[in-house]
Amino acid sequence: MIEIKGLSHSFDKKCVLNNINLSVPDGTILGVVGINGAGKSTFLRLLSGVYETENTVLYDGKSPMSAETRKDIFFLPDDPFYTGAPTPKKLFEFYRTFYPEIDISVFDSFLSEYKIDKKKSLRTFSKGMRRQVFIAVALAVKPKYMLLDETFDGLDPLSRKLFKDAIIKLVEEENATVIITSHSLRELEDFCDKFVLIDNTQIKSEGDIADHVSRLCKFNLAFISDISREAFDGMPIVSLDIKGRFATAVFEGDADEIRARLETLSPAVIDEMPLDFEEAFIHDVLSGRGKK
Amino acid sequence: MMKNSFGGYFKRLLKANLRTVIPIAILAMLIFIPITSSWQNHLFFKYTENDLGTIQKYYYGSTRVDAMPQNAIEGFETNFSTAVAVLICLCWVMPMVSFYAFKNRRNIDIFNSLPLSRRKISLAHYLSGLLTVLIPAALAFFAEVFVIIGYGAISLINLGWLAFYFVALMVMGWLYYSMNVFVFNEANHIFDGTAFIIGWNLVFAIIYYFANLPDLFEDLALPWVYIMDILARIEGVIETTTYPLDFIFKFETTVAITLFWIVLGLLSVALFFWRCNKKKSEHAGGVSDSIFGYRLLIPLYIFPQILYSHIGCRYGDITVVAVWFALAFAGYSVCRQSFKFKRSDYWTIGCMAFVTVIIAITNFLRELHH
Repeated sequence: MIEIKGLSHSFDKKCVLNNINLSVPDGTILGVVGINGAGKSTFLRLLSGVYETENTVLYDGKSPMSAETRKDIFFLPDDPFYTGAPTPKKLFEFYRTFYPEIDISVFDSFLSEYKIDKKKSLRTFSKGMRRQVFIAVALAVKPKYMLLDETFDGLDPLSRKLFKDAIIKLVEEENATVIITSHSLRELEDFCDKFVLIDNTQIKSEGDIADHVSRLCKFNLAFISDISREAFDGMPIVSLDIKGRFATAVFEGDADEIRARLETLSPAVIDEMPLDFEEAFIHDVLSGRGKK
Repeated sequence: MMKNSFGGYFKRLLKANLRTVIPIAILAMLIFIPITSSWQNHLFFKYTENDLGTIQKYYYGSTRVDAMPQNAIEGFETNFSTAVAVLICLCWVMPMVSFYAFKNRRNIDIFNSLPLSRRKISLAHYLSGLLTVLIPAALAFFAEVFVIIGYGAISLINLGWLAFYFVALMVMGWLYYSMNVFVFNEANHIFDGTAFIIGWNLVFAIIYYFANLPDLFEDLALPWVYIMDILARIEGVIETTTYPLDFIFKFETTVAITLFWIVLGLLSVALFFWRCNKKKSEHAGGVSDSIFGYRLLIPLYIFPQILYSHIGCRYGDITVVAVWFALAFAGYSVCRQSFKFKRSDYWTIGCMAFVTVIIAITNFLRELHH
């Protein structure tokens, strides 16, 4: 279990994370979301021990600043590269020095799935291919805690599917805990159990993705004449977009109750629209900035 | 597990280093040996000493001559300069080769998340770099020993001093490498690290020359020249079994200056290991703000030049002083990578300006008095 208590970090005088508190139970896939510069990568670097923490992050009660704890952790940064290992084969050998139980069959099978030559120079690889190599290493290590920074970035759809399936298998078989940051929220929605939204240095919202999305509902409305914003006063609006006779609104609450209240405005048409995690994220971030 | 990781990582680094360096060292030796052979030609010699202690050397060529002048002592001119040259060059290059990876943020993400402590990772890089310095130098040393044996001159060599030479070569290599490792690692960027190595290696010479220090400090001016000098003096003792020691050593200064370099070297080792654990990962690849970097180097380079300008004297030039102060600001803007200076920069330049004014007034009053 990962416990984070009062985690803060600043770069010189700029505060990036402030008083983050979170518990991640074993066997969880946690998606960390936030806008660019929100501090997601910093969050993972703090969790992995790359940046120093003073007992604000604990893995089963042990700090990641201890090398002994880090043998259960694998951190895959957003732009992975190591100058000391020029080929995938050398990279595997490099990691085998630190993780002696790394599974070469897993590594080889992923490289063959990704169609990557083990003996070619990593320098000649695209960012996506380098990431595939590091993904293969990460999965071969089979760590108890896997920290992945923007790992979907640069992967083709087939690679993403392969990767997601492998992560799910790792969690099911090894009870591993995976924390992944991504801007591709639709990807996270597919396989994350929980999410954390970091915004303005703090955790803005967290919880189960499905629950989070289901607490919101979205309606498209058409009226006979122009409608004003005031007509919606008193309703639990998350966002509202009015264009003449048409309105699109996201509300927080039970969809049936909201529909009943909207019908009192006598719309000509009322349609409930599906809402995904990405829209919920946008509404969360915008509402935090006072924009509705 | 930890111990194995360290050992495995160390071996891996050493293997990679040696694989790169040994061919380069062999190539260097092939270039150096003919050059240095022109300085010392593997000649047999004999010397006599008169009543006044003056040495008279007679060279006989590359084969041993049986005829001996009366009271002459026979010797063989050795040539360990290849080993010294290899050692010094590697002491400049290996700190960069061993630690450049730490100046890259992407590498730091990998290094610092590995299940091995930062100190052990640094130790592995330090030791593998050190051995990469010492092994080629030792090979060059033993190559020369084989050459001596080949000439049939081993019986003429002072074996005790030969062993001492080898120890001195290794210890000096260790200390000089450590000094360069320390200053390189005070930088956050590879460019700054290279500048720090060059800067610190030349700074004493700048101070000695421009601050017009007494000749005593000449041996402190350039560390590698001192290493070459002290090893050449020991080599002089090796060349015969009975060379008079006081001819070779200037004991009054040698011991003090050697001790100075040894203390500086040991201090570098201690500071390197103390500070390697304190470095923040987030600074890798960024601005180098260490006190042991530009912050100290800039005043150490600029101030002796200001002193050299004879400020306040009739033949002094205020324009030159102004240019040096402008260069100090330029230096700080380069190291800060912006024109936004820190308070410490203003303080340093302010202190230099204050001392300059005091010196100018003193010089002016002295001139007036005369």
